[in-house]
Amino acid sequence: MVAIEAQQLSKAYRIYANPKDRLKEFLHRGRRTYHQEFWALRDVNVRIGVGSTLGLIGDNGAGKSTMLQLVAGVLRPTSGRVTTRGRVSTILELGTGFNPEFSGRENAMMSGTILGIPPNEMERLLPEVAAFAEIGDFFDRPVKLYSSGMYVRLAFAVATSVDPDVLIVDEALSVGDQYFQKRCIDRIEAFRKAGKTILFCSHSLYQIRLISDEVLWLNDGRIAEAGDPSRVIGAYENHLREREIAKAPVRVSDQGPRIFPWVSHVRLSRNGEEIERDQFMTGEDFAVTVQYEVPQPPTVVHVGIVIDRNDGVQVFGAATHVAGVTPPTCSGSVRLRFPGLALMSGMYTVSVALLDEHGLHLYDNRVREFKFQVMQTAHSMGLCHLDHRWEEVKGAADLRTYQPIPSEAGRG
Amino acid sequence: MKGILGLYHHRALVRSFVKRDLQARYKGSAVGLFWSVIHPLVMLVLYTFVFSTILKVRVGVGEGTEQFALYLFCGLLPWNAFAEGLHRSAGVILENANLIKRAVFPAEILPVYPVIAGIVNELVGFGVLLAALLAIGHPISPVMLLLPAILLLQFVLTTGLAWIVAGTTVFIRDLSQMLGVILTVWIFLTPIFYPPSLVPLGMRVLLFVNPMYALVEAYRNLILKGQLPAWGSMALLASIGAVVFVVGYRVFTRMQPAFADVL
Repeated sequence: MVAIEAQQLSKAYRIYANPKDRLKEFLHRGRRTYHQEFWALRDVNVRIGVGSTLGLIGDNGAGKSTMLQLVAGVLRPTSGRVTTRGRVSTILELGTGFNPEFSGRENAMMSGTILGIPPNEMERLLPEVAAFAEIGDFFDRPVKLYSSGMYVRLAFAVATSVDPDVLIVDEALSVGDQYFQKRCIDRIEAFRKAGKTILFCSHSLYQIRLISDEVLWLNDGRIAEAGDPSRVIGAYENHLREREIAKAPVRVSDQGPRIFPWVSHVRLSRNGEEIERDQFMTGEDFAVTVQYEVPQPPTVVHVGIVIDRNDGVQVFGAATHVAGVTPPTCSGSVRLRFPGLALMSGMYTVSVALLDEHGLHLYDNRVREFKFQVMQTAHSMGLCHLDHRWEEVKGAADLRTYQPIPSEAGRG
Repeated sequence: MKGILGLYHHRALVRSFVKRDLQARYKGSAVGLFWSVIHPLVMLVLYTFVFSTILKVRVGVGEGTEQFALYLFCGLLPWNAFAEGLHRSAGVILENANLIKRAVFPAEILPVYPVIAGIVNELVGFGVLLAALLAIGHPISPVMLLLPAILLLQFVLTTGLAWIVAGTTVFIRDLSQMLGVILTVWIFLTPIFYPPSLVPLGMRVLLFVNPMYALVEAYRNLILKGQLPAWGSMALLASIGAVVFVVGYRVFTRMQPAFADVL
């Protein structure tokens, strides 16, 4: 059974340069237009089955909120349609439809009325709302006096206490303290178990990964990718990192007559294999081979290699002069080997630099030009794989003193 | 019809908005709601002082204008409720943008609560007026039992206009300013500060197309003269009110889907 279905769902906003234009267009009765159209959402097709949780991700302005507002029925689509089944309860951004002058109790009653819950039934639910919101005496004070945390707590308490079939949550969980976030997550989990349908968006990819059955990535109002959470989130993370990189200025190597050494080729390979590759598994032997030309031999050349993740995080750097290695002083190659690649899954880049004998002057600098991807089989997270092991703590004595890990066990 | 059903369906919501609105007005003041009695009382005393003691106005003899202050007061009460309801409904959607943008809120009830709040104040004013009438020994007629019917007509007419004003102002904000001008012109074209008998014959047609004239006259007939209002003008008022109400509701619900886009 389908709980939420969107077909070719699109939303355009009309943007007027000034209020006069709106009046002018009105007076021309559509014969002339004075607006520009901005498509916040374009041709989105989604089916969410009853009992499933869809996480919505995307950059700011990608159309997430518009999409949630359309599903909630607050906005009307410009074209296409969206249908929902059952009672829809929403927590949109900071603040549901609360009237700041009304007390928490009155706002709770009002929200209930809007959702079509009879006053006496809502009356019965109020203690539960107050208990979950944990706002104490503030429940009977005007909402305008609330802190943002209290506001969201009340909004969440109201939206989830009314037994909705579909729950729409927009970024609400990013407000409030850890304790409250935890309770929200718990309640959402309980909703999932109870077979409710949840549509939610968050900037916390961690939360999305935790809760979603499926993930939808919106980019510029269109679906960029949809489906399996780790695949879509992975793709989105790459997009985020590349966007970061695009912003950073890249140093281009100096052009001119080639009198200084230059990098002629960089080869990424595995376990001494001939073939070049750009995909590796965590734990494989990984090697970077740098081939360079020296136009005026003999010239002392040092080679520096830096690995970055594609969000710009520098992972590791090594150089021959630091290691006390002397590469060939004429055209030749050096290889940097990583036995048991410790990198976790992600996109990485290799930068290669050729330096003078002091390691100060750059002959050639190829910044982040060589890309490779690492995939992992283990379900660990982070940047790199650290040696580790789990053990049980046996008694109080074990807490204070513990044996060092035998050297063989620590190495894989 | 849908409009009435909708309002009835959301009566709890309307009630809480009206209540909150009236409370908010006198919030933090020591005597609270008592101020809503003091305002009309002071108004009435001042009118009496200025028009009866100082100016000694005597116009339109036989039309209930013997006590000009009472005559003026009786006309101003419904007018103020009407003008206040319309003027405040202009801003009511913008003020509650939060509700429209973040919840599936029945926006059609929003223009209604200032209208009702205005009428509630009018009722308090009528209470003061009645007390004054009793105090000076003015006869109280049983036709006053018809007051609720006239109030209902006033509500229907004002609500219909309030819907149109509230919806249009969202798109054309200038309407709020325009409305102030329109209401000023309108109050002077309505026999409130003067009796209708002073209006030149050639201009009387203006009175008959003015529903507020019919309304004000109806109140004066019931309260001051103890007479039944003219049935013809009541029928006209009722039909204008009904048409305005239905058209207003249609216009408002046509514009409503676009509110969230514009706010």
